[in-house]
Amino acid sequence: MSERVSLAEGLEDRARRLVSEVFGVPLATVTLEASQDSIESWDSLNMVNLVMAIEAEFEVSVSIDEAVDLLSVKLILALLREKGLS
Amino acid sequence: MRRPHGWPIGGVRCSVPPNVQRPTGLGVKRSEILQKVAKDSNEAVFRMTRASVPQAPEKPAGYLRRARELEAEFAARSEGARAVRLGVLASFSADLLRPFLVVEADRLGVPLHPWFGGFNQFEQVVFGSDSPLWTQRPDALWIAMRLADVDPAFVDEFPDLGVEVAAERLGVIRRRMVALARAAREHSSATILVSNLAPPPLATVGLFDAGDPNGITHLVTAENRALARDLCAMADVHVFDFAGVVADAGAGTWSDDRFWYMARAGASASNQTVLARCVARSLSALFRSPAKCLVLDLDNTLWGGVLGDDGLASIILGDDYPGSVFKDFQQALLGYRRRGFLLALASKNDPGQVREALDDHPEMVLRTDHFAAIEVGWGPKPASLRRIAEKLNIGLDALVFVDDNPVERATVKAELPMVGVVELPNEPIGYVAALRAFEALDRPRLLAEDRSRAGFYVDEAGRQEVREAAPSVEHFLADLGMVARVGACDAGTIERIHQLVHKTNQFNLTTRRHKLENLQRLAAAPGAAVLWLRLGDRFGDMGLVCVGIVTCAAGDLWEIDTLLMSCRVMGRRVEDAFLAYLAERAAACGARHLRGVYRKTARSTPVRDFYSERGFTLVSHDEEGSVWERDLAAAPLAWPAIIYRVDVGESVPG
Repeated sequence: MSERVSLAEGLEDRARRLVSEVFGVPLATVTLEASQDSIESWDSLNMVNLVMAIEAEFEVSVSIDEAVDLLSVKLILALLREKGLS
Repeated sequence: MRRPHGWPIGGVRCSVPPNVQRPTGLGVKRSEILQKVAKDSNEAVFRMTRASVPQAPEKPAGYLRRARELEAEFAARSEGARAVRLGVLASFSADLLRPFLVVEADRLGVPLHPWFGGFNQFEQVVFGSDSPLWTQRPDALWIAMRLADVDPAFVDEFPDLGVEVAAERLGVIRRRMVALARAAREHSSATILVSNLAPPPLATVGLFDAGDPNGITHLVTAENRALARDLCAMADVHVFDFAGVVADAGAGTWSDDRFWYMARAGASASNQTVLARCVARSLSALFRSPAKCLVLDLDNTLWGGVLGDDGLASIILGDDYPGSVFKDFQQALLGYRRRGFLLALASKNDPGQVREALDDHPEMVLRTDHFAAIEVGWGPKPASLRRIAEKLNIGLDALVFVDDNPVERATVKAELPMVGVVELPNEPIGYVAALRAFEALDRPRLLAEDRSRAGFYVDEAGRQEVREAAPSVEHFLADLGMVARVGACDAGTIERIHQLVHKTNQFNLTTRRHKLENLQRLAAAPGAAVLWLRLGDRFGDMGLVCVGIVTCAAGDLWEIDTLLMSCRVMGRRVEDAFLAYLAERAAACGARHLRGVYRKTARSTPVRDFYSERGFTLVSHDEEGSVWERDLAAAPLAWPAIIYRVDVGESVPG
């Protein structure tokens, strides 16, 4: 049980770190609630950066329909888990 | 015996007289031009201070992170060392390129600050003089229009168009780009890059399009050629070979449709870095001081094996593998020599054996005569490089070191960080590719004189022999049979003049790095003249070697804004001849007094006493330099008799 929790934390931290780097905001401000509404630079151009970063970091492929829905940290995590990451 | 001219003997000591005030009452047009010239010539020259290129970040996020670090660094920099400002106008979302551009430019030693115009805005940004683009005062401008963005229906409608209409549609795009470049030039002397058009990928046009002489691919290529022609006629405007970059990377995989639909981004993730790298490379080639000489090792670089082991028999070089790899490398190096680079040798070997190999080995492509300098001995390579730079009278930052031994390369990088070092791979089969990929060897435009420069150094050996035989310097000089052609700047000479203005360091009285466009303005302005001198002697033509700019300061006082001479003709009284010519031209325009200015720089000490030695009176001096004057009516300057003079073209209008 505790092992699974620590793996999930691993993924969450990686996702938060990625968001911090892509949108240029301090890691501390990237909570699990962070989204397009709370981060000003979460625009369409930076979402391209986001897709590029996710694909490089997690070695997954993101379709355009999946890409346009990447509007919050939670949605990013949901996608990654769908792709089999944990 | 008279001492050779051009070299100072001791300093000039005198008390500082009061500054002469520049009289007021300049005509408006002249003063505007002169003010602009003074402002624009204070541009920074960016030198490659890194011996090797830092590694690229591995992932896109790495580029974002590194770009932020760099931008913070630039912001913290002092005013004196500012970044290159690049304006980007694109028909796609170019902002995505920002971190890639900044990081790739930094890897090449160019601090870059890009500014992006609004999406797909060209004319709106270029045509207004109060546009944010121009208030930035960019150093460079990139106009990036893509066929697919500007005429998206072209490929689909093509079958119905017919060749004239199709060509005209492409022509409209090209003429638009040229008009933008022209309009940009009206507002700025920035270096301008214009992307050419990438033919659509094979999957789009089909495998049989190339078989139609009026098919899409051929029409686009023809339009690119027309673009190159149009831009050649403009000052400091260059084609950015977008078509070549895309073809090289793979036109079929260039774009990522997802990114286009999400944000009109023009390239896939990996091609963002490719594109940024190529733009950075172009800017680096256009802005940094050029590499001039490839310094080569011998053993396992120009041939396989070690000469010292068993003499000529140990050399692996020939038409079969592995000798053929080295022979091809030598051929490639010869190609660089033809393009105007000098070749030099720095080898730890026995001089006698090296001479034998260069002269007698049947498979050598490069021979003694191909090398402008040869340093063979057992001492350390950095010392050889210093001697080579000194002998060729070029800066260490103009050298590129090519050596198979990583220890030698590391030694040079540590001791001489300004020398470019090619990281040759372990396998010789990769040598040519490593050379081709080395950014410092990029050249924006080849001038005819670059090509013949390598040959000049061999002629010089002939001149040295005469020098040894002549009983006196005057005798030697007269014996050379020098002929000087003099004239005013025109379309045929302006490029060479611009080149000299930018690269001459030692014999340069004011070191004003006028941009090409400034030179054109001065050449056409009344009250100013841009003049040149071309020297030949009985050993050959030495090319255009002197550049002078005189301007009317006020009334009958003219000033020498620029006076420079290529170091290859020092010590021949050519500078006296040219000075006399400048004075004569100024006098013909009404000058009775001539002012000479010396601006001190790190390398111009050889000409500190130039005006003093030629009978000018000191007017003022400070730590920046000195100002001198001569009364031309009372003491005219005479053209030295030992140089025969030919006047070319019409005289300068007054």
